[in-house]
Amino acid sequence: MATRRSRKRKTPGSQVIMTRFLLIVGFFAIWFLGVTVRLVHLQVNQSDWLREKAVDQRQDTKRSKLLRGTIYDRDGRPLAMSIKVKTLYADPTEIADVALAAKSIAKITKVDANQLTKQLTEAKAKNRRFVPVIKKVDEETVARLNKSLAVDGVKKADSPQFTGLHWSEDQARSYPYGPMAAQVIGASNNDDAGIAGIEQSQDDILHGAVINRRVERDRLGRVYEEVTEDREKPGDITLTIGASYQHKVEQALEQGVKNSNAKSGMAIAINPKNGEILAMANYPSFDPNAIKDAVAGNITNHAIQSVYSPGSVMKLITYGAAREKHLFSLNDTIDAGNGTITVADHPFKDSHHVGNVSYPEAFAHSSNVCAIKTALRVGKDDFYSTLTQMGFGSKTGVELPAETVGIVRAPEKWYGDSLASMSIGYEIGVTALQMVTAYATIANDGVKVHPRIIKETKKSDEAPVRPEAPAATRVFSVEAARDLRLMLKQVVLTGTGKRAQLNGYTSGGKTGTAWKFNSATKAVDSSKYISSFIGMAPAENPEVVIAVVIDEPKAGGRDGGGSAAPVFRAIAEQLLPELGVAQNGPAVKELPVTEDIPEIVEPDAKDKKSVAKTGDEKSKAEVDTKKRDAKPTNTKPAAVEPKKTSKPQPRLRPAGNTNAGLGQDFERKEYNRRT
Amino acid sequence: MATRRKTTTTRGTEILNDRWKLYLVMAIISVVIVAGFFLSGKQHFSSWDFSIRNNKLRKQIDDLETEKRRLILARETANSPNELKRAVSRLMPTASAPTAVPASAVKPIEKTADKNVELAVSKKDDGKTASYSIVKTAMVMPTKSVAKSEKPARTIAKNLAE
Repeated sequence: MATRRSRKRKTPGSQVIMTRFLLIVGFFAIWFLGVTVRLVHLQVNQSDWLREKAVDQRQDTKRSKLLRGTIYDRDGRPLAMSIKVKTLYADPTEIADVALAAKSIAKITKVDANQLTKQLTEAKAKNRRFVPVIKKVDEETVARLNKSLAVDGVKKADSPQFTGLHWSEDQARSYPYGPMAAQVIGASNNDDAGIAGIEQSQDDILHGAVINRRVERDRLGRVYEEVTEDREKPGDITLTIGASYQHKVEQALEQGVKNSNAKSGMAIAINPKNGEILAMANYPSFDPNAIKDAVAGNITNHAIQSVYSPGSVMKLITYGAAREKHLFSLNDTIDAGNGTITVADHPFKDSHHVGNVSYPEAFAHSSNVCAIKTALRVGKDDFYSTLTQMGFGSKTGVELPAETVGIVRAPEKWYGDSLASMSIGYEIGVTALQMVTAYATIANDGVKVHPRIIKETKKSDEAPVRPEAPAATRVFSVEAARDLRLMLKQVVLTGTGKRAQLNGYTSGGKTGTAWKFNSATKAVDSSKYISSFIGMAPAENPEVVIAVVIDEPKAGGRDGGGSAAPVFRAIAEQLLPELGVAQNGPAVKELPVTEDIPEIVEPDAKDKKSVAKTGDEKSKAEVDTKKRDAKPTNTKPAAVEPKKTSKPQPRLRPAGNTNAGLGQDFERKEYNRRT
Repeated sequence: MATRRKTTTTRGTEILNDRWKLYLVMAIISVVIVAGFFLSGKQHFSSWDFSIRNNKLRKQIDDLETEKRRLILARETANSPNELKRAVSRLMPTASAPTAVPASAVKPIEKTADKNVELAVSKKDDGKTASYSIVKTAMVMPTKSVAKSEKPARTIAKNLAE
C-alpha cells in the first residue's frame, strides 16, 4: 500500500518536474530561436547599415595636405613658410534645424547670418557635406571658438561640441619679409599652387601631396589608432639670395628710383665666380602676404621678363669681340674724327667730340663713333657670334618662370646699319639678367657664367641636392677679359661712370642710356629713357657684379651715370664689406668728380633733327654741358623737362618694348618694318 | 580470493588516483586557460592604452612642430626690416627709420630651438603624462607700461647714436 501510495505521490511530481523542465527548455528554445532570428536579421538584412554605422562611430577619415615646402635664403632664413591652420566647416546633413543653427553659428563666429543660412540650406538640399564657415584660423582662435561654440548636451568625438560643425586641417602660406624679393619668391594661391616666382617654377618640389588619415576612436572618443597614407613629403628650397643683401639692394634701388623720380627700377647683384645671384630687386614691389591688393605690373619680375635696349652698356661686347680678334690693344688709338659716322645713309654722332684717343678713353667717354668703327672691323658674323656666345637671344637658364629670351636677329635679317646700331645697344633686346651675366663673364676671366638662384633643394631625410653646374665655356681669353676690365675701370675713373667710384674699393663699369620705344608712334621716344649702369668690384678681381636699371628717370642726372651709377655705388659699398672683401682702393668720402661727362646733351635747335636721327643716348633733358662742368658732380642738376622732338622721329630701330616700358609686349613686326 | 580482493582494492585506489589526477589536470588546464585569457585581456587593454598614449604623443609632436614653425615665423617677421621700421617709429616717432637690416638679422639660424623641442618631447616619452600643454611663447609687442618707462626707446636711441 505504502509503495502504491508513494507511487501515486511520485508520479505527479515527476510529471511536474518534467513539465517544468520542458517549459524551461521551451522558453530557452524560443528565446534562442528569437535571438537567432534577430541575429540572422541583423547579419543578413541589416549588415551593411550596421557596419556603416559602426565604422562611422568608430572611424574618421580626414583628407589633409602635407605642409608646402619652405623657401630659405642662403643663410637659412625662411622667406616663405607654411603653417598649420584650421578651417571651421559645417555639415548641413547633420543639422536638423539649419536656420536656427546658422543663427547661432553666425552670432558666435560673427559671419553674416542670412548668407550662412542660405549657404547651409542650399548645401543641405544638394547633400553637400562641406560648407566652410571660417577659413584658416590659428590654434588660439580655434580654442576660443571651441569654447564659445560648446553646447550643453551635445556629445561629439571631435570639437567643437556643436552638432554639424567640424574643423578641417588646412595650411596658410606666410612671407615673413613681406615685399622683400617678392618677384623672386613669388606667391602661391589658396589651393597651394605656385602662381609666380620660385613658388611657381619649383612647385613640383614644394607642393604638398594630399593624404588620407584614418583615425579610430574608442567609446570615449579617444584615438587609439591612426593610419596615415604614406606620401612623399615636399622638399625645401634654399636660394642663393641673402635677405641682408637683398634688403640693401632694395633700399638703394628704392632711393635711386625716388631720387630720379623714375617710373620703376631693377637691380641684380651676382657672384661672377659661381653665378650665384645674391640679390634681385624690382621697385616698386608688392607684398605676397596680400597678393590680392598687389598691382599686376608689380608682380612681374622685370629683371628676367622685360626686354629693353641696353644702349651704351652693349659697347663692352663690341670692344670685347674686337679685342678677342686682336683688332686692338689698350695702347692703340682710334680717331673719332669730327664725331660723326654715316653707315648705310644713317649718320651716327657722338654726344661730344673725343678726337684721336686710346681705346680705353674712347670707351670711357662712350664714343658712338669709335664703337661703330670697331664693330665694323669685327664684322657681322663675328659680332653676332659673340652676342650669342654671351647668351643674348637665349634664356640664361635661371630657375625662375617666364624668362624671356630677348631679341637678337640673325645677321641675314639685319639692315645696312644694323651692325652699327647694335654695337651701341640698339636693335637688340636684352634682359637685365642677360646683361649682368655678360658682364659677369668678363669678370670671370672670360668663362661664361650661368646665373642661378637655387643653391640647393632638400627633401626630408635626404641630403641636400645642388643643381648641376653646366660645363664651363670660354667666350673671351683671359687677356681680353683683363683688358676689358681695365677699360671698365677707366670709365669709372675718368669717364661717364665717375659716380660709381667706391669708398675703399676699386670698381669698373659702364653707363648706358637708351631711348624707349613708343608703340603708338612705332619709333623710339627721345623723351623717355632707360638708364643703366653695370659694374663690378673690386675692378681687378671682381667679387660682385651689379646691374642697375632705372626706367624713365625724370629728375636729376637722367643718364646712366647720373641716375644708375650712384645706386651701384650705394649697393657695392654695402655689399663688399658684408661679402668679406678686403679694401683695395682709396678712401672716397665725397664724389671726387670735377668734370662730368654726360652721355646725353641738349642738342642745339638746328641739331634737333640730326639728334633725333642718330639716336644714341642723346636727349634734351640734360642741362648744358658747360654749366654742368662747373657744378660739383654730386649735386643733381635740376630736372629739365625735355622738349618734344619734332619730326622726323629717331631713326634707330628699337629692340623691344623699350617704350612702353618694361613689361609690355614687344611688337616684333616693328623689326620687319624699315622706318 | 585474497588476491582478487587485493586486486579490487588496488583497482579502486588507482581509479581514485586517476580521478584526482584528472581533476588536477583539469584544474591546471583551467588555470592555464583562465590565465591565458587574463593575460591576453591584459595585453589587449595594455596595447589599447599604449595606442592611445602613442597617439597623444604623436599629436604632441605635431603640435610642437606646428608651434616651432609658428615661432620661427614670428621671429622672422619680427626681424624683418618692415617690422623693425614699424617698431622704431612706434617707439621713437620722431626718429628716422633705419636704412639697413641690423647685422644680427642675417645671422644663421641657431639650432637651440630644435633641441628644446626634442627635449620637451623626450621628457614626456615615458607615457606617464598623457596630458600636455604647449606654452605659447611668441614675441609680444612692448606693452604700454614698458613704453612708459622708455627703457627700450633709450636703448635703441643709444644704439642708433653709436
